[in-house]
Amino acid sequence: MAKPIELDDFKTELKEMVENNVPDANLDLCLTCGTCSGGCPATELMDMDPRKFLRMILLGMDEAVMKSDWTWVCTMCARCMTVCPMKINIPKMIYNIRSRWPREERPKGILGSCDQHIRSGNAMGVPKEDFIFTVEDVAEEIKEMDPRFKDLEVTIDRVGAHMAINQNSREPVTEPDELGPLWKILHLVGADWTYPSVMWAGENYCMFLGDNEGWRYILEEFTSHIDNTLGCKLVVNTECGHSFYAIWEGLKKFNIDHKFEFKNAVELYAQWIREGKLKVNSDWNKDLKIKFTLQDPCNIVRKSVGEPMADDMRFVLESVVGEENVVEMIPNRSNNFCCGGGGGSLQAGFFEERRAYGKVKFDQIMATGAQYVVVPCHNCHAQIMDIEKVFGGNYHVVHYWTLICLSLGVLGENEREYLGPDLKDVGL
Amino acid sequence: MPQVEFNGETFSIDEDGFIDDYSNWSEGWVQYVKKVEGIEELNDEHHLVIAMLREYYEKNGIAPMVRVLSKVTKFKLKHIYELFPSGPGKGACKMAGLPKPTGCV
Repeated sequence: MAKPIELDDFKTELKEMVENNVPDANLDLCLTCGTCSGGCPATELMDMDPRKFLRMILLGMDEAVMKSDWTWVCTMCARCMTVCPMKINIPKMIYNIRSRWPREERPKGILGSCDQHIRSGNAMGVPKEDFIFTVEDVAEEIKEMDPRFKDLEVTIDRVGAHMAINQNSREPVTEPDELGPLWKILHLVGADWTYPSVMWAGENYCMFLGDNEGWRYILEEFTSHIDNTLGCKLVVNTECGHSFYAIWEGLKKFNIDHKFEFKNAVELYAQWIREGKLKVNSDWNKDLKIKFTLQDPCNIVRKSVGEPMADDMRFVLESVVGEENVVEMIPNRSNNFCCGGGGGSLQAGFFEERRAYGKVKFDQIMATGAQYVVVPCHNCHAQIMDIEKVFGGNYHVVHYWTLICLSLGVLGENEREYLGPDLKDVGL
Repeated sequence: MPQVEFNGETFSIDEDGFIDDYSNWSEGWVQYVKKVEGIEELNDEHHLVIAMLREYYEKNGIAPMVRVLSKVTKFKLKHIYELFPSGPGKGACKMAGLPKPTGCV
């Protein structure tokens, strides 16, 4: 139980700011029922919970609110808002509190990632020519290693391509072998695609930073390049939760005019399997009977596309590993618990709190008995791997692209970093 | 900021265990990270990776992409992991005194 609030000052500035900026954050509607806190994995971390935080704003405790690091421990996962009987938009309330912090006092990992992106087009700050070098180098290697992909075409800034891929910079910068599986999938379905070179990295830490100007600038530059230079009709986000949400929400939030349609890679995997273009099957797992569970990333399920995305995630996984080998976490889909890796927490520095937050997720995963967690999100991926190590789990964490290529028999030996020994040789 | 002491030297580190300031790097820091990372012996290949990382960082202000590191050192990524079990970012960059990389690491 959190300590009682001590009231010694009364201001209404923060309350007014939040209510002015977030139409569905009328804090006066709060019934103090505590449902938000009951379902929040960040409850009691730093002696705080969503209800207490909201009450403190309502009681005019502006100074204490602005001093609370809980603002950066909450991942804005929106589970609180979903269950709130008055539908108070607590995550956007937190976003606006973040935006009020003096910029230089915000967590340096998030701040640095945002600034690098504005400066260089990606949060890791790598030069564009190095990105181009890596893409070309990996593509050449795949063509040489696997004759089935000798015609693989990977382009950057190809004008008139139908599809642009919004790529998180993690793969090209730190794990380039993870680029190949998605390219192979695109090749096999005959996708007409290219990478954009302007704001080529999908991540958007300015969103986590509460930096409206930075978030908007990145998105406007990206949108202008897609529409006005490349003319792509479709933008497809790779398996990354927050980068999807940054575009999905940002286009609406900033009222950015755009011509392209926007989809997530998982939606297309499902579509291509249904159309028979992606001829996956689960025969490889018939005898192995390896069990898989899946994490519904908040940013692509509860906060944006909702149940249709949850359906697609399950359809693809069942097609690839066998329906009988999918074990659900409880709760799941739009009611899923955030893993604790969202909201920029992996760069926010509050280690102990982030891991305590993730303990609920760890227990949920372990209760499934699954050997693998499948997740189309980088932050979930990193956090779920971290809590596995910290709390002593025995599962592996994989992307969809890995399993799809495994099922198709095209997953290279060097593309198995996240697979356990049981799958290291399957399909080779 | 947390501090660690090793062989009579004191280093300030961030939450991820990276040194607080590039200019505070020393041979003592290398030995400290070697111990933390559980590396038995540092050989010429380790030193080549560290030297390349520092040279690239001094020129560009960031760590290089893994493929660029591979190109310059002629080491495949798998071999870099053999040298630095935590990988190029969390192992090699840390030993070379670079700050924690930004973005989705």
